[in-house]
Amino acid sequence: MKGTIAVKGMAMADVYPVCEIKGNIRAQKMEDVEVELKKLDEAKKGCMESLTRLIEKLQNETDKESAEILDFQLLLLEDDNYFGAIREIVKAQKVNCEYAIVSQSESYRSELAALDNPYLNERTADITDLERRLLNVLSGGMEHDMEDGSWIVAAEDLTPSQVVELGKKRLKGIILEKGGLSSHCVILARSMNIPCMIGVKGALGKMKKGEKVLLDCIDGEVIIRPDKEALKKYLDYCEKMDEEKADLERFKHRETKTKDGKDMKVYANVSSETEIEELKNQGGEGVGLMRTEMLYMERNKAPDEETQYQIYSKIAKELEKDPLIIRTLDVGGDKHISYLNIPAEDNPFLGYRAIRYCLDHPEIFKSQLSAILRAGVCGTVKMMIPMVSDLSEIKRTRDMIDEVKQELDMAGIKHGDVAVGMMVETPSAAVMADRFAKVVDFFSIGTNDLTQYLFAADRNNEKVASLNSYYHPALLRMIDHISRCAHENEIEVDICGQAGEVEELIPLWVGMEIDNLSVSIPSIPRVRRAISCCSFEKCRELVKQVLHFSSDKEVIKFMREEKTK
Amino acid sequence: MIVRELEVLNELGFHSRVACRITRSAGEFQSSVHVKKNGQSFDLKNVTGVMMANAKHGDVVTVEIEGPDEEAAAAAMEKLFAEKFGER
Repeated sequence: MKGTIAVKGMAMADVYPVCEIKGNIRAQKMEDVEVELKKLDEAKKGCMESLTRLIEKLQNETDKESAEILDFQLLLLEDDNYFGAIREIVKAQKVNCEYAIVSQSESYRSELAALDNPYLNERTADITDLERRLLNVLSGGMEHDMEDGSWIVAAEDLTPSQVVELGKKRLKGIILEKGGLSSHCVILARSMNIPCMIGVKGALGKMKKGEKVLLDCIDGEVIIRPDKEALKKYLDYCEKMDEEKADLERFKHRETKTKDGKDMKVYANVSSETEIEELKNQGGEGVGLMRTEMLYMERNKAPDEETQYQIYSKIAKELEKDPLIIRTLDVGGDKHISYLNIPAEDNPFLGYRAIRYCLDHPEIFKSQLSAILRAGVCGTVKMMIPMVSDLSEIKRTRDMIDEVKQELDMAGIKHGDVAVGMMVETPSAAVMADRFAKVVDFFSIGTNDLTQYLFAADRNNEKVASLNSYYHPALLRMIDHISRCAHENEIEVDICGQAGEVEELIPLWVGMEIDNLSVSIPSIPRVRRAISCCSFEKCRELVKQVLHFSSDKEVIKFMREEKTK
Repeated sequence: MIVRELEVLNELGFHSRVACRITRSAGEFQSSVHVKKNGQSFDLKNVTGVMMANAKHGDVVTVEIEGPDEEAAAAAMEKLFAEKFGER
């Protein structure tokens, strides 16, 4: 099977298909009700066993809260009104137990949802979880909870929380039937360095749980039950990786300098405080982009100021004097947060998102600004504003920051010196970079969005995604212009998008005098090695030549030739 | 039958952790244990019954216990409510 490579690498393991089976369940008349009831009771037993095991495990790991949620599910299986009612449906209506489960779960969910108690309303999620558990056990003995072991997961699509959950186990690879290259699932897989292939059509239909699968995200192929030849390819790859790993080890903990001594820094992009340890292991010199959306997405309501302060200040402290650049809430586009009530739009990427939303919602924005300013006393904290397209947005943000500072002063709460930068990711901001450079403290070029806005090509639409080329002279000229404007005004300019870690382009970033590259954590040593191999003088010459090219193909060819020289 | 008027003292009322405790405790006895609220009766031996009773902090609920070991069951319920179900 073929697919699109989302995260490079290779993995071999047993496959674990995650099916969303609920959609196909219809009522079927059953001749032998006893058989059906026995099946149902077996499923209950299977569920209880796996729940008990999970609870024990969680209690050992002191994850009490999760254990208690599962305990509730355990009791539901003993419950007359839930499990008992499912049995009654099978008996009375002589139907398949899958249907009885779905129908009773639905009716109990609506009962819970009707109560005037938000806490109980949310328990509908537990019913859904248990429902899925039961259905999974019924569909061929597949358990909801992965036993320990290493797996390659195959699914139609995965939610970010599923990836995080699976990532805690020993997840070797991800195969998705759907998925976009910059979907959150893929971004997370990249940060965890898990090989991932998307757009593998019909994958679920072709593999059974426990089959050996070789996920080849180098050549873009999924091989079920790999033969000797495929096996050799995998082993060769592992050997090569071991050598590469040993080589990269040398670039983990050292200063970032070109051959001729120009300093740069390699930062990392992170989404949560749990990643800081790994950032340090890989030798990151700071956080160049902290995405704060996850803080909002994993909750039922916006995190309050204190919660945010705790997280930001903890990271700032852990980084010691290294910078922490926090991006203010970048909601909208493909990042939907239900409780913010942003209505569906025809063009979400061109719509009401990020700073556009935040400026209209001071109650949400100010609590974030306040948390960031307070964390400023704990280290080198900076903030940057996403999706800026007009100078007035900077002025309004600065006004709001001043208001927050005054409020903090009045309350006698300490706050630190926090630089205010902006993401340069709209063409208007890029073109007007000379003006913006006078009103912000630094630039960070978000190449993912800048590219799709520059070429007017949706990065998630397979048909036009190829127009979004990081090698295109149009983008390179634009980045060169932004960098010049920054330096003429003596502010720093970073790249925090995916283009920053493309090895063939790194000489150009050096030549354009980009100050810092912020990359995914696993790429840190590789990026530092690429910079260390550059000569700044040489790179300046390369930039001059490349900016005169007409197509991305010319750039690719030229840069590849340079690399092998 | 024993009838007790018990106050829900914990902050969060009958949430799922509390519901689990009540269900487990009621399940230890042969007697039936019900909560009466607004003319409706909820079986405390079922976790869904406890949840649907939807009792909040400060509510006083009527608990009815009937069966051979009703004295012991009533004492257990009283203790559980008084100890705020082991919560705040």
